[in-house]
Amino acid sequence: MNRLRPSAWPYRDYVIRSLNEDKPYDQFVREQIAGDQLGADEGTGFLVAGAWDQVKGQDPALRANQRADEMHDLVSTTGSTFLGLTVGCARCHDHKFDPVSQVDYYRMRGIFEGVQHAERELRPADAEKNQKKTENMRQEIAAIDATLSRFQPKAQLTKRVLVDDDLPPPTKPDAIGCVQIEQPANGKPIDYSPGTEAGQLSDLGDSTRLPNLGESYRYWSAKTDESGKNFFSWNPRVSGKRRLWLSWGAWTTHARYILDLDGDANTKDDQKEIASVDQSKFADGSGAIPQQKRWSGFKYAGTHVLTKDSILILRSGKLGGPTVADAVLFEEAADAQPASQPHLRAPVTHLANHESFDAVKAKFVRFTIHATNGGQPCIDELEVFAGGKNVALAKHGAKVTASDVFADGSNSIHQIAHANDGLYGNAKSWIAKGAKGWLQIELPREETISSVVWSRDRAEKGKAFQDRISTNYLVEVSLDGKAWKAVASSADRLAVDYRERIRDVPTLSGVTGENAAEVKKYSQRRAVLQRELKELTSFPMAYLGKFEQPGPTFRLHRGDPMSPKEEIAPGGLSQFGAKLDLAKDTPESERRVALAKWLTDSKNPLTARVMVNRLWHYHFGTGIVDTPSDLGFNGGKPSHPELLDWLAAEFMKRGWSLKEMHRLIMNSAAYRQSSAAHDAGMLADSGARLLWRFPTRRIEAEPLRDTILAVSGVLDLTMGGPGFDLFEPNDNYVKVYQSKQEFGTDTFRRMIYQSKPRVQLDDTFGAFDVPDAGQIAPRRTSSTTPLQALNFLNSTFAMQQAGLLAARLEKESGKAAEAQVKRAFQLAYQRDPRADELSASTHLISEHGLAMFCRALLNTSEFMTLY
Amino acid sequence: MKNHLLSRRTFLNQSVSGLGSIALTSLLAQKGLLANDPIRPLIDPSRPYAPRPPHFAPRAKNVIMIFCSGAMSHVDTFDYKPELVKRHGMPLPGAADLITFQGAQGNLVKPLWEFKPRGQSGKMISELVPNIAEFADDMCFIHSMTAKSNTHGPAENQMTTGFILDGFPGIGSWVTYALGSECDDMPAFVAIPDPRGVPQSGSRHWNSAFLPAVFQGTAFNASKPIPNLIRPASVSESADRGTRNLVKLLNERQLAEHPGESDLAARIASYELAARMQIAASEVGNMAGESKATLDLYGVNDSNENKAGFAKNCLLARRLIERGVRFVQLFNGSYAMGEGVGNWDGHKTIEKQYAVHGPILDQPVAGLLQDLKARGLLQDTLVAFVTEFGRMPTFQKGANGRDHNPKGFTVWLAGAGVKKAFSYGATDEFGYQAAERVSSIYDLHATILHLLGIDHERLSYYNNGIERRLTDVHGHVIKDVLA
Repeated sequence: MNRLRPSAWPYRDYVIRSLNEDKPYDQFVREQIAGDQLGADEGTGFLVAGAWDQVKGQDPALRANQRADEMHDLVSTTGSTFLGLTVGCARCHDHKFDPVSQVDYYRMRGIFEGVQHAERELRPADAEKNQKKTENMRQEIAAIDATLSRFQPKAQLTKRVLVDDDLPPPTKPDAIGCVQIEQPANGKPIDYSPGTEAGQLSDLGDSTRLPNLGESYRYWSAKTDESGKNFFSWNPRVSGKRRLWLSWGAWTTHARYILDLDGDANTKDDQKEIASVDQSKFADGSGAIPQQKRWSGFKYAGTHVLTKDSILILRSGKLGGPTVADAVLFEEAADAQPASQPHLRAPVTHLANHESFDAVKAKFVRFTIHATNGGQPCIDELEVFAGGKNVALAKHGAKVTASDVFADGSNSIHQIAHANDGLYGNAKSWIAKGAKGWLQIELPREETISSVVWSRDRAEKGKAFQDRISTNYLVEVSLDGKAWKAVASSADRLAVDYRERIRDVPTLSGVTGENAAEVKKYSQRRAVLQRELKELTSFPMAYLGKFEQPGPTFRLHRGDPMSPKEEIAPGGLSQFGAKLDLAKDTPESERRVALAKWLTDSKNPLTARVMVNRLWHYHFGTGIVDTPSDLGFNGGKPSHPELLDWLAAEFMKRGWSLKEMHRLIMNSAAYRQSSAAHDAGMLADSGARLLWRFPTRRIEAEPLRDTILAVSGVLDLTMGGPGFDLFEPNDNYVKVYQSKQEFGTDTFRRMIYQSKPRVQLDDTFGAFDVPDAGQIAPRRTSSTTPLQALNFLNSTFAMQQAGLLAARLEKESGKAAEAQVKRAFQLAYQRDPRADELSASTHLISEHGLAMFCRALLNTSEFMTLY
Repeated sequence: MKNHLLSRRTFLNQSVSGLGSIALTSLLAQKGLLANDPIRPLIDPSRPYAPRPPHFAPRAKNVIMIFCSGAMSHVDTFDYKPELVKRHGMPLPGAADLITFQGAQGNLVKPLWEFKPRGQSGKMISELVPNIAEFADDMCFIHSMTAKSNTHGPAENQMTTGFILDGFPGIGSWVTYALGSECDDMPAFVAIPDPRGVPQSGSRHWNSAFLPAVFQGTAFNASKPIPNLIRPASVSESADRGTRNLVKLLNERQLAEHPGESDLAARIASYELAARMQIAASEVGNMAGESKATLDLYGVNDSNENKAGFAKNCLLARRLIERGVRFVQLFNGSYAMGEGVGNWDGHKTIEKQYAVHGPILDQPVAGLLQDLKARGLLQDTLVAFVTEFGRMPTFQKGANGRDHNPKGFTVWLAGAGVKKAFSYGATDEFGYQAAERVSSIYDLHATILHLLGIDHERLSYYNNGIERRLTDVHGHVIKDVLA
């Protein structure tokens, strides 16, 4: 299966632009092999323009064969296209005719081994220019973060349990979850209104309110007379004194919240109504916004003593009607009165996690990990701040110790010493030996510290690791290394599942009144910067391939991926041009850059010759070598070998300019001569292979369609962008292609802009030898079939175009048939009609109308043939 | 150089051919390089469907290839394995770590339909296809078929084109390229899609790929006629005639000015052929003249709409063959609706799915065999019954269906030039892998071409540096199946 690639068009635009700009051909070739490294991202669309099988089964032999076929497409197409050599023939054995060994084939495969079929971000042309700008923005954001980190909410050691309405029912008695009480369960999730304003889906919050914690709320469509109905319960599995915070989607009616101490909804005497809430308002009492689904924020519902079985029940209000539910927070009650909002800190990330606390004297700091989001804990850096300075650095005399270390320290990138070496990233990190562990820093002297910062992978480059993040941890300080005092922990952090949505909980606690304005100012500036940065750095996706550092390449015995032989280092063909031998571990991009240079090296005799032959082929219908992608021994012999060599030399001499070559060829006597035949010529060379006349030929399907549109006057010359479709839309699992039967103006562009599905031919033009794009088609056949005749006589496209041409003729030449015919002959044939043609044409018009004459005209040899 | 041109002229003198001839001539100049020189069909561009001589005396004149899309299970239809019945519910020996297309294996599962001895020969065939089974004495089974791919698209490609990749001509295109057709007012190669839709590989089956477009299969069936065949309603018959007359006048004028241009002559001929085809192709689809007995034989009036539709397609196949169409590819099953709904795939609930598909296939195909036989058409027509690959003798782990199995499956032939009541090759005792006289799709193609009088090694077309063949560089005629 091989689906449409709706984002493949940037490569088409690139090719058209390059040809129009007369980009030097050698550069054009290089960019199609390694454009991502040469400032022409779209060029690499070439590499992944071929077919590939997207249905990957479980069977390993199948997968290996599929990959081998992908690689084969790259190697053989590159060889055919640029070198005019059937390199692909050497997949299973040495080439039978040309000096290409099987090893050569696998050397070339090694070049492409890291190429994968995929979309990739398409960086715009000014991406480089913007780089300085984005760099500055990143620096400013980093500075703001540093400033704001002073105001990070201070850690609280008391525990928070957030129970969101989309949690599944508890699977074990002691598990957290939510239960649909009403049966059948009618509560359905509804997304919040999109946007970033207060309560909207992507509300990031600010210093006065929390970000939107729920992506959706749950809705019950109870009738207005159904009061006192139990819909739903939150089962937090916490005991002791808790502050309860309620939230909902602010737009419905009324709801009541019942605390059920024993967790059995049927026993009533332990139930207590703790809140009765007008759900048409926000938690702060302000009115909801009509037509908007917004999160209410948290409303305080008192402090209550819970048992581990206690549940909170949602019950419809006194008047019944729809009711909604969202997250409820159970906050362990400390002595102090609650703030206006609950205390929560952002989920931990692989990047810097700030642990702020009241200033404390310390000589030792210990970071103990009880659990991670997967794998043994990893810390790339543990920092301890005293007055804005990291005092934990080894270079300042701090000492680091740990519970243990991954692989007992035999892995050079995971070392205990990396935890305070001042270097970020996985490659300079510590990993514990087991699922738990600790790190300890002994400061050179006693310091007054107020924050600890730690991270999993703060690497600036490459893909950051996001596993092994500490999710359950404790930060303690000590003066003597014996008596420890806890200063921060994971107890007040949002669970790690919120990480994708909630990157930050803007400061809610720990900010005094005078600082609040400053925090707000920085927060706002940061939001603006982040938005701009996103705009500058998020690029559209395009089908240009993805590149990965590959594993080894092996020669495959008889081409069988299940029979690998010796490992082969990447390189060029050994019998052509300059030597290109790369090391086995050459970085992926360097391989392609090297091949790109090798292909266009002046020592390479093939690339220029192949291209000038193609130019000749397209101008004359047949190349000097009539097998344009095979100039090898098994290909055609050149009809004019000296000419081919001379053209190739001229091509390089003229700076690989294609337009210069077009001009040269089209100004030649050979090109400008008539196609008229004479007996002597026909007798000696009826096919005009030696060009004693210009050889005639039927024009190809695409220019034929373009020509019809041009003559009927509707051709849309808009360049660039996504293509148009000649098939009906269809979203079947395996798309069923039905040719369109009606053609709107969107399909009147040049056929190069058709979104061409592989191996699907259009009902009208498919009969005109259009390659089906399953395999490359260096030279197409040209046949004449009765179906072509039927298509041009009867298809809705042909009928429509005949009608459009008729309308054009009437508009441009008036009502007189004679003038209409003359104009039509000029448009279609660039000549005036002869007397008999004129009378036959006007006769048809008088009998059956102008459109029938136009229908006839489009079916004639003279219209379809290049003379 | 001189020799080269001489060869070319000789060739052109013989053939009057414009089709791809230029690429071929320079190859002729290298004559002697290849052990087996290709035999080029001599094609008159004005009569592309005219009959052309085969390489040697043929046993069959035309072919109906019945193609079951989705991969029909051989162990539930034509490949009887007593050991599989005996070991029902036990693991397939040696398959503990076997990963097939969708994953791990469950236990062996006996055929889901009972096998019974059929005809004089007593050939065991299952109750899923009881009507087809009646023809056991006419059939020639190849039980040791193997395929290269175990995914549908590539495997469909291979069964039709010899290659798992896209972009190669199908056997129907190859045959009509070589032989033309016995009737030149119909397309030489017709593909008949199932009434439910096209197979997974869709038009890959009938695209001519790098062969000239004149050898594309024309896809139509009893309910969906050839696109653009009919004059639009808005055009009167006399207006149509007027249009064509002007086209003819202008085209003849062009030919007069460019004498010897074969393309121009071919275009004039193509409009005449198109006019004849409009009549002939409309007539072939009109089944009004068929007797009620014939319609009932196929099941054309069955209340099961899909069966009735497929039955009409089978009848259409006979009518095409009767008129001399060279190659008919008749599809059973479509991919339009996904697994198990419209085709022979069956990963999850194979019994339920096959209970739907069996009756759609069975009577119409049996009717076709009966009708061909009764009319004496089976003398000259080869029927080839194929699918993508087989299915596992086990159920998939945790499912009630069989996974893909390209290692052994059954195809059968019947009619012109093949043995009757004959079985060739075998799978192992469970039907898992071909074990005796292992055969390939290349062998099958070589055999079909051989029956048509074509040497598969000498039928080739030069494309992109290679003399391409239907059988790539493989294939041996399975001589044992020849009558």
